[in-house]
Amino acid sequence: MNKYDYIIVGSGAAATVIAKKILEKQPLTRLLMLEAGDKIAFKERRHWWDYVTSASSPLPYQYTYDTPQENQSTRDEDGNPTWTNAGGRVKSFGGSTMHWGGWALRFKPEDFQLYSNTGEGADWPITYDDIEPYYAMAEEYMSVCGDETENWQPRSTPYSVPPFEWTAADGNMIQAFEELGIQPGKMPVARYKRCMTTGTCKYCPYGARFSAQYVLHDLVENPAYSNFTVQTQSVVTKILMSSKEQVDGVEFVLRDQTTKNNVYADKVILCAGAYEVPKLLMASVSDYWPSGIGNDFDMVGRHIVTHSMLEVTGRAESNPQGLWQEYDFPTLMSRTFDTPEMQKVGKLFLFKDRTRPKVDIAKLMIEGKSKKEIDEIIQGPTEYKIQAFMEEVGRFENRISIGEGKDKFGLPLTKIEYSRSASDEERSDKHIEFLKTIIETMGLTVTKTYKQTPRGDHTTGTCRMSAEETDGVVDRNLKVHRTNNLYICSNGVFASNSAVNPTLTLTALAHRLAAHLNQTIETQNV
Amino acid sequence: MGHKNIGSVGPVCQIFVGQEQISCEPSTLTPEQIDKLWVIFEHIGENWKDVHSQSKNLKSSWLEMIHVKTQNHPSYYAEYINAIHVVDELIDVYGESDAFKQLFFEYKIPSLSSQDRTPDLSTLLSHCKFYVVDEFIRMQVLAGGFKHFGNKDETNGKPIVKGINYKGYIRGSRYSNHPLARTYIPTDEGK
Repeated sequence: MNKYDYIIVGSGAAATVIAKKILEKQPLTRLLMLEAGDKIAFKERRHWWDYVTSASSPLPYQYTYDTPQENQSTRDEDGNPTWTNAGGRVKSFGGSTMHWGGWALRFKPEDFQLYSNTGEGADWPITYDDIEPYYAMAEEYMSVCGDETENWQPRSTPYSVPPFEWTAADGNMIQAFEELGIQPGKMPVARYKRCMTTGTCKYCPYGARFSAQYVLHDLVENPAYSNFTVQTQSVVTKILMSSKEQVDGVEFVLRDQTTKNNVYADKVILCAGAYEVPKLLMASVSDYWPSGIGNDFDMVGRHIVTHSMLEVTGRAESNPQGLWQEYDFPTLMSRTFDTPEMQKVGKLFLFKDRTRPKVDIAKLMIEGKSKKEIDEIIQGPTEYKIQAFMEEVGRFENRISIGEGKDKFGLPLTKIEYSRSASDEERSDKHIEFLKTIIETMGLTVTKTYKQTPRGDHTTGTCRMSAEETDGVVDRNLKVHRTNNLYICSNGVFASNSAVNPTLTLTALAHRLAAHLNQTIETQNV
Repeated sequence: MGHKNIGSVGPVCQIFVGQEQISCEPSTLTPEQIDKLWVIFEHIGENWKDVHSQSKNLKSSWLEMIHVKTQNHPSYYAEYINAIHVVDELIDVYGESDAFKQLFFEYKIPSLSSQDRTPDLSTLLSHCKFYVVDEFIRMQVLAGGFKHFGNKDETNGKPIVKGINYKGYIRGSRYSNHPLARTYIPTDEGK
């Protein structure tokens, strides 16, 4: 069979939701999912034991990471890359939720109206109210553990799973927050009820931190979905068009082969992330689309943006209670500076570093320290760190395009032209000064400030959603402007990136797109 | 004899091997070999005192680790056999108690160079320390040993509340009556 109802390119968080919802509605839907990466073993005991005991074993998905050698971003005056991808995404069956931290936060109403509120960036062609019911679905689907008393944004439903409480190690930062008028909050994280807080979320032995990989595995194994196929090691190289509007299917090659294969479908959905989707659109040049699909107005790949990660570290002269952060995720955060008023100066999402105070007892034993020496070290000087994501605005001149060469999977490498604006630099410097105030209010000595090089983890904006085709790539239903049957569901469609992690919003958009597609089928049937 | 911070060692410890893990097919250890490895694990508990009382309770978990590490690629079978020979030789030289003190507290794996901090794993002794002893230490800490560290609060002289959770520790369901971690308790509740 090479004719399907749907072809989905990519197999990550968005792809999995869409497939699941379509199959639940119409179990015999002919659906082909094409994934460039491999299927990686999960909940595998050997991998887990190596993770927790070995000093030299990488996690089983780390080989899929972009490497520093593959980085083709622009360089600053010192020759350093202005953008880095290394470690930012997992290219495999199930995608990047295999390694994510599971922080699952909603955007706020004002995030959908950035241009109207600030004169910068873009508005989304949908509102918070449009997406709110799908946030609720996404939270339930991912088992987000959150505080039902929180009031950061309007909610139609409470969280279905209670939050993880603040740890004792959060205590002095909570007190500093309160002293400075900052409202402390509990971090909403995607953890199933079976979570045993092993602290090994990067490779959970029980599959207790949401990963699209688990859901996708269940879909593949479900005998009711006999027309559903996931084909790994398949690199999609071109989208096939029969007119300006009509997509016929896609061309792909199997890894390490050169033969081109064509498969056809009524609808094609691109869910391969904010890097691969724009590159695929650009590579799909035809007489109908001489600059690539959706790119008549040079919008594909533009407006790439991520969060600025800001950090301030402080030293405590002693740790009399011998505290350490006992989970592998942060429990303390605040959205006090994630407000409409802050949009003009760069919203901030504050959180306590998930690894500090840090006590590595095994390392001290391995170094030959006695119990007495270790006890003294545990209660001796320690570090705390406050971190923040700062919202930046996507700018036209910052862009992603096809680089030279291919990666280990046969995907074209990525070229990124990026620079921070002077105003972003100025804003981040001011915010770091404020973060120093938090550390000082805790009674600590500031030892380090750090502004991270933009990283690919939270990349958004490369195929942004817009009301008009002159201003973006997809419409409010995620359909590529001017096409009948080509959709995109990736972080690339975000018109702004807010100050918080994108995955919950992506998952909500995927639920919304699936509902739209199912509604379309219903309408046709009627 | 060229081994950092350790006294004389015998010829087995000094046998030259490559930097990488010793290659072998997955194989099954005999009960006698497993017992000898367990002795290493028990001595870790004894030498860090408070961890010792936990050791027997950890055995089923430890056995699972040994099983999956020997029965899957890359198999630790050869590293474990090597460690048994190294420890036997150290015991011949130092006697049982001092042999483990040398291995745990005195011997430090050298670095490849002052510029490259990668451990120099060129001898059987360094392999024993890196692939077996150090991993057993990590296993013992994460399986509950961490609970025994920390002393009293010098600011008030009271014993501290010791850690409840740690990376790798499996403490059971979050819906039990026991706390998941030391939690924050406001000192001025109701403010």
